[in-house]
Amino acid sequence: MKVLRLVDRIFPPQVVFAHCDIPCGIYDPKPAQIAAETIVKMVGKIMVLSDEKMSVDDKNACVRYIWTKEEHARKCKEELLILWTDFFKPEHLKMFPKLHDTFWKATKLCSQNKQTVDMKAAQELKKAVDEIAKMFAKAKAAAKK
Amino acid sequence: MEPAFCDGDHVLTFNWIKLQVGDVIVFKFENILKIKRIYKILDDLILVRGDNRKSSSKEKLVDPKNLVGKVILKY
Repeated sequence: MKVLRLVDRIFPPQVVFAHCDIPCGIYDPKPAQIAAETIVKMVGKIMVLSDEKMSVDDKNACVRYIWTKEEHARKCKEELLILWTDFFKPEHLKMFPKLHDTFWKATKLCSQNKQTVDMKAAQELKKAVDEIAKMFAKAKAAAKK
Repeated sequence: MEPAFCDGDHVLTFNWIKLQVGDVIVFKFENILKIKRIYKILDDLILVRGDNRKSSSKEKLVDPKNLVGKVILKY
C-alpha cells in the first residue's frame, strides 16, 4: 500500500466526491404533468400544420412547436427521474408493486415523444404521469398518518 | 460513503468487470467524479446511493457511459 501511495505522490490521482447534493425534500409531480400536457398540445399543433402547405411563418411556428415538445419531453423525464430516484423509497414498493415499471415506461415514453410526432405516445405519457401523480399523492398521504 | 470510505482514502478502480448490486463505483457527474454504491441495476441504467444516508440521501441514476470503474482496492 505504501508503494501505491508513493506512486500517487508522483502521479497525483483525481479527486472523487461522495456527496452530490443537499437533500431539499421538495418534491412535486406538477412540473412533469404540465410538461406532459404541453407535449400533447404541441403534437396536436404540429399535426395540424403538417397537413397544409406551409408558409414561412408556419415553418417558423412548426420549429417552435417541435423545440417546445423536445424541451418539455426533456423536462418531463428529468422531473420523473427526480421523483423516482429521490422521493420514492424502497418501502413504497409494498404500496406500489409496479412502481419501477410505471416509471421506466413513463421515462421511455419521454424519449419516444422526443423522437416522434405521435398523439398516441403523447396521450400515453400524459396518462402515465397522471398515474405517477396519483401514486405520489397516496405516498404523501400515507406519510402523514 | 463513511464508514467504508473516508476523506483522504485512495481508491483504485477497474472498468473491465461485470457490475453487481453492492459494488462501489466511480462515475462522472456534471464534470466531477463521484463515488457511490450500486443498489439496483436496470437494463441501461445503474441506480446508486451513498452509504451515509444522513449526508447523502439522494439516489442517482448513472448512465453506463459515465462510468469510470468499479472500486477494487482502497489504500
